[in-house]
Amino acid sequence: MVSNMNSELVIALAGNPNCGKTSIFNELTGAKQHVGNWPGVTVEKKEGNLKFEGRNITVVDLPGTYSLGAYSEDEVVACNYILKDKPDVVVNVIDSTNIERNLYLTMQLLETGAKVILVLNMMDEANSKNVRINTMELSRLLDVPVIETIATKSQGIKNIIKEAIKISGSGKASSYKIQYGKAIEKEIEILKEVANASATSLGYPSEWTAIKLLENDAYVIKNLQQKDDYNTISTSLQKCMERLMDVIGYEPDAFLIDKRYEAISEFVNKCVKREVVNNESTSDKIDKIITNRWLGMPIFAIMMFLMYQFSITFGNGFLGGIVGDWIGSLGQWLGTTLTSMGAPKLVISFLTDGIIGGVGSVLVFFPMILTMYFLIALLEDSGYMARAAYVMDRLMNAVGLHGKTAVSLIIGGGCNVAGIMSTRTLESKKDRMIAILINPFVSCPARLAVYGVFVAAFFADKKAGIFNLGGIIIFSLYALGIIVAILVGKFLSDKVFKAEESYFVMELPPYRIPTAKGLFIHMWEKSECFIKKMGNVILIVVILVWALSNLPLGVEAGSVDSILGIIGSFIAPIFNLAGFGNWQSAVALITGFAAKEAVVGTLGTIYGVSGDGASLTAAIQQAFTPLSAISFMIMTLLYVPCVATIVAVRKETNSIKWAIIVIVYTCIIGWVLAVAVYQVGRLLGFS
Amino acid sequence: MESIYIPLNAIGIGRNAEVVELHGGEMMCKRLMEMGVNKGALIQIIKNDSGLLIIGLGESRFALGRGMAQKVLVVEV
Repeated sequence: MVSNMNSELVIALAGNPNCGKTSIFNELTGAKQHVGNWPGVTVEKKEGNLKFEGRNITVVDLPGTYSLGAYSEDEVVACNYILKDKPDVVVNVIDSTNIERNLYLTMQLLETGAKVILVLNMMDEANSKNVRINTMELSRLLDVPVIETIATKSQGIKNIIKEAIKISGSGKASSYKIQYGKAIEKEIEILKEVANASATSLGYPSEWTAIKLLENDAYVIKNLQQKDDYNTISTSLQKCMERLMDVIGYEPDAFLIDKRYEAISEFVNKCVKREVVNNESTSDKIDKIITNRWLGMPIFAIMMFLMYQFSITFGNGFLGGIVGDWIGSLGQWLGTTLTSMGAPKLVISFLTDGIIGGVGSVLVFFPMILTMYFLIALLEDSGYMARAAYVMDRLMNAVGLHGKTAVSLIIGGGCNVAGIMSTRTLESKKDRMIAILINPFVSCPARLAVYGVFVAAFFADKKAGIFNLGGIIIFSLYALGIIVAILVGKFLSDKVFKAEESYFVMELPPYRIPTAKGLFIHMWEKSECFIKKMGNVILIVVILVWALSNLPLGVEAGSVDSILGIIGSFIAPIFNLAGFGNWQSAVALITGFAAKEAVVGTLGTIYGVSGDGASLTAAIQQAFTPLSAISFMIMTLLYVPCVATIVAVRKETNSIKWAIIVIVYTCIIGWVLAVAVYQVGRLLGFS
Repeated sequence: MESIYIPLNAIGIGRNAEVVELHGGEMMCKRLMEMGVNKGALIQIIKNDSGLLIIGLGESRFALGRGMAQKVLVVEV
């Protein structure tokens, strides 16, 4: 990691999901964040920098986990980072209201031998819930610095940095050791000896490795298997296990977990006073309504419907309109200025039709995408998203899917790649495979950009009752995507994947009023990739499309005789039955493989260069009918989402085969439905 | 007096139960235990009608599959 080399201090943030780790990260680093991936996996890696008293500090946000086992990729990533990259300090963020459970991870962090700082976050909530924590005593017992914070009110954040600087210099790692009991400790000593060489070569501390072996940790064992002396280790592990089974009477891994909890309850007894008020919390009261068996589903549907209505009317109609006007005037101004300067016609065309026409037609949708990401961030940060999984579980179960699949589909509504990554919370392999494979059918904002253009051309000002017809059409497209996803999911669940034990466990975080800062950072994080895409993929596609539509030299720009026209005309007949057999659509659909926004960018460029100054909207009104616009949108919705999604499918399923299957079946399903809608629509007398 | 072990999903809303045994697959048990559902843990039943249960563990709330809850043996307290 380059950024680590010239920075003086590296802090890793570890903690349970929903412990307020992200708020702390935001408070520490502000907007100076960098989102990327951990090498080799698609787990999101967030890094940020700050300066404190002249020191450069890098903060790495580890994935939120309940433990450091081999349970999920997230845990493996967090664990490996702490052991191998050896951050100077590990800051363990704890939800003070749930200190017992959160301390479990702490126990495991201490076992890694890292320098740990305990951050008791949400102290205000703990106080209001009558949870009193004796910080000094906890610090003494665990032999680590303990800091109280309220991240949402920016309290105590500086102390984290100060303490980190202090401990990284002169401080020592905690000397605390969990008392596993004589029997276990004896075996740990034995395994430590046996596994020492292999563990060291893997970069693992030997004692930690011994404990992991006793815990039967799949990941550590997998790594040790590649070592020459694994046979010795395995034989001696087996003997250890047998001896322990005799002494303790049940599996050592369960015994270790028990012991950790025993240690925790001892701390809690000494340091935490709780006035037991078995009162119904506000969250429970809200949950009574939100998760009600009759009300839950309608509430969910209304939330989703409003989300799209608001994105369309406010984000697209209002904000998008303003941006559209700006881009329009910019293009005109540039055109007239360049003409008056006597610039060559081709250059003017390249800048105005190519770049501004192409990229601009995509940029117009940025406000809508921002709005939508803002609303998704609101649903996630307020705690509703987890309830959505709860509510949807029943419906999803009926078709053989898992409730969390619903959440990955909603997140897929923000970006398919993110949706596919979010399937990692699904426990069983079968559920996870299905959730990955059906995610590409969910409309993402990139498709929204395509709908935006077509809806603007045909349905924007029309009303259906009190609602905007455009909003309803877009909502229906979303619904169609989800229905197709669910049907394909049912098929996969019934016919393709063998039944496997599938189970559901998920935390329902208390409802919170999200902070504005958190929401905006969350929103920006997600939309950043959209802007970046605009700068590279879309720009390249647009330039390519412009060039090909002007070649061979001398051809009428953007005509059938251009290279682009020839390619498009070759493919176009496939779409005759779907009502959009013109070469422009065919080309747009091809470029859509790179990214769906490119469909709009391409149409913008093609119609821009050939156009007589008419807008993209006007050109589309000529080339399409309302019905063929709908079938085109359906095709756009369902066929291959984008290269990035296919790469994510390939990575997460760990199979090229499935990635190819996804490409093929999404294209087929898209084409079949587009044709069906167009043909049935015609029979019904629409045009 | 010897209490009877019953599955978690048989406990009514608003009642508390203490975990005595976990059955089921290794992965499932481990996950439950790491989340805090292990022997001796006090669980409050927040919701238990059909479909997923909502259980309270201290201040946290978990949604738990019915099949999974069936494998958690408890005594009512």
